[in-house]
Amino acid sequence: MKILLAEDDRVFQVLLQRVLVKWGYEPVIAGHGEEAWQQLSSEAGPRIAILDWVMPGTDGLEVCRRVRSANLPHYVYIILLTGRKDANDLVAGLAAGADDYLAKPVNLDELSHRLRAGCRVLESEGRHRMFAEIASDGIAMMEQGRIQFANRAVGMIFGYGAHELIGLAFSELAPGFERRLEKVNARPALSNLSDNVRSWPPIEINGKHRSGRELFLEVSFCESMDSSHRTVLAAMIRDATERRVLEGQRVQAQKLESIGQLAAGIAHEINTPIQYIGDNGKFLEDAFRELMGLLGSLRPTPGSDDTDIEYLKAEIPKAIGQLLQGVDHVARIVRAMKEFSHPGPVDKQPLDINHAIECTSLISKNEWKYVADLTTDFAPDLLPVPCLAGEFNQVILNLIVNAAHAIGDVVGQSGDKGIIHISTRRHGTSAEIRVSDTGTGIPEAIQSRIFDPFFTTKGVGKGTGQGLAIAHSVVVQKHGGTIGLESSSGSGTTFVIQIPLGCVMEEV
Amino acid sequence: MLLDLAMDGSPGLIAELIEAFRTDTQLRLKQVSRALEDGDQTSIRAAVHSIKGSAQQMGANAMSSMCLDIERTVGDLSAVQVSRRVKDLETEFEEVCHSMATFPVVPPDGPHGTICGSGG
Repeated sequence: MKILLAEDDRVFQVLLQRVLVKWGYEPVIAGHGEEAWQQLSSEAGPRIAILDWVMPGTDGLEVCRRVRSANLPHYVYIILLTGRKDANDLVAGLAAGADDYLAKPVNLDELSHRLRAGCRVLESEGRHRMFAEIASDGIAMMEQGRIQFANRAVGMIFGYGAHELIGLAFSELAPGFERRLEKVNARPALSNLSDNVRSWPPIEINGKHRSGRELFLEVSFCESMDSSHRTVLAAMIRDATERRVLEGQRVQAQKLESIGQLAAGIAHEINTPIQYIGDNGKFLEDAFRELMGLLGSLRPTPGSDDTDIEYLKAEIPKAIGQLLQGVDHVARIVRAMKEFSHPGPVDKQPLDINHAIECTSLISKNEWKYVADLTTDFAPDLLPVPCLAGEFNQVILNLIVNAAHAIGDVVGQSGDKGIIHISTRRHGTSAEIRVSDTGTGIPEAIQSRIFDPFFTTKGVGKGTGQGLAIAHSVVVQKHGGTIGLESSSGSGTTFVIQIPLGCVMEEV
Repeated sequence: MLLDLAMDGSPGLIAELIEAFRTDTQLRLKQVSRALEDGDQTSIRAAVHSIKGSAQQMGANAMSSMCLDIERTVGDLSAVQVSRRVKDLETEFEEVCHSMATFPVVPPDGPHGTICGSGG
């Protein structure tokens, strides 16, 4: 272990250097206070210092004070060396921050034991530091809102090096945490700690990664008064962003599943009556045509008004035609609903994505029809794509709904309509789906964040900020594809999804 | 303890300490004479204080008490009186050096004390 020996007297330099080496320490000699301070404040500098009180220039007492006020990332154990034996001097030395005190002439036995005591303190500190460093949760200590200590995990959560965090205001990492703390009642003092301790149950607060990414944190705070009556706030920080995303997705998935089940049931119930309405309509159409033939061969009754008959002859087939058209439309929606809500296989199956997109746009029609027309341009020769059908449909649905909202923001209540255009094509070894809208566009400044969970620009009730995050996770993680966007503020957005065709081509 | 050190792997230590004491003290005594000429009591006190520390550590107890005396009285005595005491200190230092040069022949309880490793 390195020991700094700050002493300008040659006799003590020689004597102490020799004994320290003999005891297995690694002495580092400083001839004056400034040199001592340089050594102690350097990162790999000694952690134990023997400082002579009287030195030219910066004396030992001043070095002590500097070490204590500098908030070094490591503790420095200081033994003050002096010929002064007065009790007041001793008090002054300890008040300046010395841990121990050794009188001249130096009793080497005494020194060796005092050094061992110092080593014990440092070892104990080292053990606690080690626990803090291996913890996967962030552990930070703050004084007046500024970070005095932070373990590696804090750095990893927020994207900083551990040393960069020292001195940083915690509110920069978790804006508004103090207001949140005020709202939550502190628990009474922990029974095994002193009375000066207040702790809070874990609270959920938002954090900010260095990159600007939103974080969702679960933090336990504990406030205590240290020996110098300074208030120290300790925080145990857990990054719950991923967990919250998964929870959000699970809730969303469950909601969709129950809606899906309901829809499948309703679709099934509607299907049967629709079928006999359709069949009967067709029967009436045929029957009326035959009836008309029969009617034509009859001679008109003298004096009767033919105009009624003529009117009915013209209008009834039209009415039946519209009836059949309507029924066909309903039948298609019901079929699309059934297909969309079908839970689908748990592993990827070849999917006709053109058809899937058609179904999805049909069932989401209510979302867009008042603000936009939806046009499609599907590549007819597109191979089936290995897909989780249900999740793929959800991605398309999310994009269509987003597109409709973006266009809605532009057209408002004006009655004008924008265009949602969906196209598919083969792009190398992938299928490419482009969903374009003529909406507001996405400002460049936030483009990098739109796939972040909970990031939303929509008002309350319009979106949870999950849609694009889910789309991203489905496309990228579950299908090995990519999702990106081409957009500029004011001229609409195009989302471009590419899903590899690869496996299906091998499998087929 | 210092002797243990000398016997146990640090054979040159005693000689080195004596040399350090000799050169350091010579230097400080020069500072004292210069300060005497300038009438700078603070510097006299500081230099004598340093000499006292190492003298004590080396076991030169007579020297260290002479230092203490000067340190305490420098403000009250006349320049001539201080100068006489410094002269005495220089003489004592020469004698100590002479005795040390014959170490370890010097008996442990010799006239000027011994090198003090286990403190006093």
